[in-house]
Amino acid sequence: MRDQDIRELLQSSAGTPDAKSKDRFLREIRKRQDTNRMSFIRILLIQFRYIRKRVWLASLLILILSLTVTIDLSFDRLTAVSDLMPFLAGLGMLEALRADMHGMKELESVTLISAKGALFAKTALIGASHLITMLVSSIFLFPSAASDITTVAAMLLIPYTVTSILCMEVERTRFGRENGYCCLVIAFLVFGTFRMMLHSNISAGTAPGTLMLIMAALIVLEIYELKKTMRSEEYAWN
Amino acid sequence: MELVADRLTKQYDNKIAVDRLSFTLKPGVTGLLGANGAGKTTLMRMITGILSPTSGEITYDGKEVKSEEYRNILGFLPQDFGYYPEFTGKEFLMYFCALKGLSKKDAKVRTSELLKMVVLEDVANKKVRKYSGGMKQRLGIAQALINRPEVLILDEPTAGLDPKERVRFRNLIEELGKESIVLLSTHIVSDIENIADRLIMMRSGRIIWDGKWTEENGSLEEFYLKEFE
Amino acid sequence: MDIETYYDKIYRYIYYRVHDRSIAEDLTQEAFLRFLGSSGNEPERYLYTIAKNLCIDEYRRIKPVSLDSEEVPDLPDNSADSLVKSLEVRQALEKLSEEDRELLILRYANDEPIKEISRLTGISRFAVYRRLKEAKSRLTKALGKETI
Repeated sequence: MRDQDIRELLQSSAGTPDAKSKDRFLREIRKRQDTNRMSFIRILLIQFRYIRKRVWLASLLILILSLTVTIDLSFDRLTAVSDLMPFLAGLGMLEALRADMHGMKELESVTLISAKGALFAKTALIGASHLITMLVSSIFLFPSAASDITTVAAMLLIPYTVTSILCMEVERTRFGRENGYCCLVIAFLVFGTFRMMLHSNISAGTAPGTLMLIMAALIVLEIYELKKTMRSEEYAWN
Repeated sequence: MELVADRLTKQYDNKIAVDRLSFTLKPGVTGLLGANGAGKTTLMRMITGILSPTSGEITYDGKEVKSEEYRNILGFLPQDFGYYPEFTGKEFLMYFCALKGLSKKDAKVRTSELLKMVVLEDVANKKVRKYSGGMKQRLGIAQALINRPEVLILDEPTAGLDPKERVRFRNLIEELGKESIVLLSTHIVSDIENIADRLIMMRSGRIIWDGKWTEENGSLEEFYLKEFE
Repeated sequence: MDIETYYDKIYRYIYYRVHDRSIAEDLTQEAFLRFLGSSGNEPERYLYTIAKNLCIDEYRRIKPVSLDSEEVPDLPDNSADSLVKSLEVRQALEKLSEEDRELLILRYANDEPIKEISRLTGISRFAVYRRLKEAKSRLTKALGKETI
């Protein structure tokens, strides 16, 4: 006999325990125990499994671009990486807000983790990976960029935060929720705008003090938006 | 096991969706009947803790509906739900098992048990987006049962089910009602006529009937039509 | 403890010792109640031990039933086919040694990996593997399906 046959034979001839009595018993057991609170690490690990690879690949791509010493030294890597920032942000936001866009938020709400917890975990994971990406990139870009560190930081951070803030704003509308790819459209628009007018303004001319001020304001706004997104558990669509 | 709603009110801008409702739910099947827009969904969302009431409160055995302890014993099937497009039926259930705190091992066992229960084993590895309406609905029901809920809230659960599935579903609900508090909303009288131990009928955010419907009350269908259509 | 996982396993483990569905269920629940009141490392091994001991108590309580009697095994669904099959399985298992039975139940009824069985029984992995192989052929023989 094959293993599979024996398995089937032994499992089927024992039958399955009565579902109702099992249900009752397991619930009774649960009542006696405390609700097993999930550690934040566990929540992170669960969400990590469901973040698609493209998110990590995008970070990797940017890191590689920052790290490679291109043969052509005239190639401006800082601008190239800066160009990619809106897409990094847009892709990240698309991923973080995905459960909501696909209509799973309500189902997530009634779980132990709750929709808020799931969203927070995903955002934390993606945000952390992006932060590391930007940090490492700026360290590598700085020496070759022939500009000061504030400019390098601004070139990365400003397009990134602008994109993610806009994505969160749009996602709060019904249209944004139903059309997830809004995030990528926004990324494209931000990319275009920076390409056409803002890159040159940041990299030349603008005083580091002003840049720092702009960055600080954007970071504050980003945190505000994040908080608002986390809180927006109630829709007024009824 | 008691779910208590006390002067529950939900107001949107200037429209009152749920108007000072008070009731107590005990184990058994309670049918929530009402036309579209009567406030059923709003009420159910407040009971699940998804929506905060404008005023009033709901507790289950003293637990707040916003607490982890309550979510741990709650099952919910919303009127409509989505899924990640790459999910198969099995992956969908595995995801919610994880979110409900089951270990990976337990999640696997529970998932296959539930798939069998709602007769989806054969399509377990098929993408959910290829499912028929009835199959998707059965998956939603399975999802609501993952944590063996003490409180089970089902919003229009029979939508999309074919007659055979309806019968199977009714039997399942009847069984579940013996052990849990089951609140089931519908606008189809025949769905709950025979299995509900109690009926709550709503119109414009208020309860217009609360109790067991017996034969002395006449035909429920007729009453319903008179009141709601 | 993964109670969802072990509930059915412990049930089958006990079922093959007591051959009665409702007794198996009661003992399964009893095993978990005892288990949860305790603590220790190697919970799975402990759980199986509790289950085994409960079965031993159960044997002592009831007088042994002979298979020759007219009794009908208590089965989930009473189709004649599965009834016959399950009786065959029971008879075949009863021809085996206690140890063979134990290994077969753990491996096939409960899908425990060899490594886990070795941990549960305290037998080396290699020995588990070898004995299982022998037990399997004895079971096949007892079932009268030598040909495959």
